Amino acid sequence: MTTQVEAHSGYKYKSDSNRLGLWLFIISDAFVFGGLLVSRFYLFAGERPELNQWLGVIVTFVLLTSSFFMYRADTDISYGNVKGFTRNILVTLILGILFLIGVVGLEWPTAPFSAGENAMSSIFFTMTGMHALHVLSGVIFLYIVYRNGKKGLYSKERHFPVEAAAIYWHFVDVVWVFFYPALYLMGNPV
Amino acid sequence: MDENKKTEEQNNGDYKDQKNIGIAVFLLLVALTIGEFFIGSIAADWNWPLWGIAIFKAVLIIYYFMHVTRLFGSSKEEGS
Amino acid sequence: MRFYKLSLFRGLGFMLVGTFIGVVITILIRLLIGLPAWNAEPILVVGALFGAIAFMFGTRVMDDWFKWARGIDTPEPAEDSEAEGWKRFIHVSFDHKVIGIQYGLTSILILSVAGLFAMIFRTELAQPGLQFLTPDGFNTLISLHGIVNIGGILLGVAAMANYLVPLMIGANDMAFPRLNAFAYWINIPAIVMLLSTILLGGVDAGWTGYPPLSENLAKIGFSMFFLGVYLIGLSSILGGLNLITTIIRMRAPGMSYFRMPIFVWSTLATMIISLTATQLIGLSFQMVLFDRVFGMDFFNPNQGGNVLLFQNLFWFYSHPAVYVFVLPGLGIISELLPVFSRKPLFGYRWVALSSMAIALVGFFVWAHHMFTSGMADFLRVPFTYSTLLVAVPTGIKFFSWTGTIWRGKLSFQTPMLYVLGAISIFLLGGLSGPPNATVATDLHIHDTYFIVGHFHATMFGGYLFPFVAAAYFWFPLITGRMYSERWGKIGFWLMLIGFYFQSLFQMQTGLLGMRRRIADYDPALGVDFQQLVVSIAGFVVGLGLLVFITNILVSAKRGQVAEQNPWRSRSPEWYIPTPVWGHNYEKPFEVVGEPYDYGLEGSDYTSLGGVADTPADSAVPEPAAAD
Repeated sequence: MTTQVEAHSGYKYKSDSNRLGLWLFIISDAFVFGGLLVSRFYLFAGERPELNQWLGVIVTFVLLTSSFFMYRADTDISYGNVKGFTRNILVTLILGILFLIGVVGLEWPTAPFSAGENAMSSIFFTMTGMHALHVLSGVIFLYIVYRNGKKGLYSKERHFPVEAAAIYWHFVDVVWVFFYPALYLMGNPV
Repeated sequence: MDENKKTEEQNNGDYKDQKNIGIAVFLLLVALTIGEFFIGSIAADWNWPLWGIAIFKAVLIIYYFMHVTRLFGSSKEEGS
Repeated sequence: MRFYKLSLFRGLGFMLVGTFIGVVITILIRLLIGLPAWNAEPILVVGALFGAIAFMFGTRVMDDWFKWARGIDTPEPAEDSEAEGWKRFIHVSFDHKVIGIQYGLTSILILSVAGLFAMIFRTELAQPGLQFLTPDGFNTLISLHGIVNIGGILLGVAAMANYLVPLMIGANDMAFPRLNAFAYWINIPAIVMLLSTILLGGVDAGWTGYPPLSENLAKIGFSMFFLGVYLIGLSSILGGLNLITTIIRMRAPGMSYFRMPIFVWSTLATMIISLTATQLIGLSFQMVLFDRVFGMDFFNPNQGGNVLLFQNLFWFYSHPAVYVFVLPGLGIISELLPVFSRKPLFGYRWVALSSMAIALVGFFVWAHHMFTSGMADFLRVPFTYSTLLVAVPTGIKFFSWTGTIWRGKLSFQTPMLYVLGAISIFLLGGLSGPPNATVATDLHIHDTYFIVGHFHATMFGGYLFPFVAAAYFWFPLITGRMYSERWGKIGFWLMLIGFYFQSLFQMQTGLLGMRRRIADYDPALGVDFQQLVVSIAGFVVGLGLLVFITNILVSAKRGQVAEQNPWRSRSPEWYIPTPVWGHNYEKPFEVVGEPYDYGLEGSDYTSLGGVADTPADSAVPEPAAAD
């Protein structure tokens, strides 16, 4: 049997702990978004804000596609393909920024209401804003991983930061999977 | 220990499989999103199918993209 | 080490500068987008946020993280603190034991502040009529008494969990030592913000901060209040994440879940609540903050908002939060009783799972705080039943405690006295619960002093007494010295008697019809005598706590050197030299038996050895008087 000290150090052991910690963080974070969803339907069950449908579906696809490239980057590095990893993570990063531009740069200014107008606009701006904040932090995280990846810090065996960035990024996508229909599709526009 | 015994070829095969899974899941997600969009544009108060699709999409992402099973051991199999 | 290099002072200095920078940036942005330059509230909110971030930079807790981001690997955090002696506790350290003591000292400090607030308004309430407080000032004091105590209790819970859990499970530190330090230090700016509310107009809406009152009163104090609680909540979440990971991943070999000490079980249950539910109070406070600062309308009924939404989100955390406060305390009771009874814990598995059950049921009871709020009538009955359901796992604990004491060889040192006191008080708190949970009676006693008496009983029995018991019990381990047994007992009797008078008379005042949170009362109500007794009893409790604090502070310096394992406990932390800093266990140990088999011959818990209880000398030896 290995001694406790050996068992409690080492890259794999630490990565497993870190992964658990990350998932716990995600569960915790999910409660914020869950709370926002509940609030949205508590305040307005059968209504939704009047929004640009095409913009909504386009940003949704942008985020979905970024998730796909993130998956590829994650897979590439787990099989030691550093070049593919760098390329794919760059694409993910750019798509993430495009999503931010779509929501904060286009949807917010063109929405037919302002943040302080009524409860409906409040919930819309808080939900998209909270999600955008997570996308932004994800983009920063991706940039860090991209930069360190180019320095050659990750390999087939040692790449937990990439996996962490991937899990976080996919989580942000999962949130949008629920927010998109809740904001754009469910209920009658008012 | 299995890791070391794997030949280069097997490893490459796994890699390809993983990539193909990614493509398949992505296409499925795209199709579901298009479905959502159409349901949303034809029926404003048709919420339950939308919830169902959203949950299905979330499960797909959590299972295939986020590798939730790695939490419960046997992570070696997936090449992490 | 020079004082300005110590994390606390460095952080506070950075905080001052950071706040200033935040204020300037906000003013510039406001000018840029064409708003009037000065609007105190948003500017100060952003300033405070910048201040909190600057504080964290100043403490250097995050240094390693920035290095990682730049791709620089760092070694494991240093085991030893850079500071020596008492300075150790105001300087950043990644040792879970130092962090635990930091939490503990901060907790005692701010609980004392909150107690001081109580003494001020109890003096006011001692007789009818307004003597020296304004109604606003009174309400600010009661609100701060509530919220600062809650912060203090959360810190105290974190103190016990941080210090004890890694030691008990045989780990050398927490899973994420840096995150652990971060979670502690973020509390300091939060406390500064909470206390600054007194200078910024006060928070006179009760500790719950219900809108529309908290939303419409133009007092900047409210924003600081919400921000401060938000940061304490962040600390709680991160602490929960860290402890759950530690418990799941870092147990000693052989320590299966059902061989963990009960305290670890209750911590696990507690931290599951902290990890998840805390987010919702954060969300609700954030929404009020947005309403105040950005003019949003979540809780403004004129614009489609709904004030009940706040109550739902708020209580979804704040009810489970009381289980965060009491579960570790109940764990301490279960932990200490077998040691002082020299008997196995009765029904170990049931007790372990009852903590989980309380945590789980706790998620489905929140609306019992809202029976009079105007929520849908049909929801009252299910919430009554779910609330009453909590009594079942709590009853299991009581059953186990009585079963453990039954025919045990009891000895009555101070920790044991506090444990027994805790059980009796928690029983009072528990039995006064069902009348609040039942709609028919709650409609009468809602928002009266009866509720005040009830929750003070649960907090004293579930948190304060066990916390003091734990502090005395592990005092020899923490300091290597023995506290004064005589003063410990004096403090106990002061607290116990003071408490019973306080709580019972509060309940009577409530049943006589006096509502809480009111600065004055009509002599015709016939509660003058009761209010006077409550005030005096409150001061007696305060005196008892003062005795406790003095005792531990003086004994830490001058107490007699303690012998190894004075309580003859089986728990592994007693088998290492005291006081221990840095590495916990020189060599790893293995768990070979059940944790609480006291009095069973030839049974060991760990491979570190154990106490062979022979029938002749089973009682815990009376420690030599150290005064």
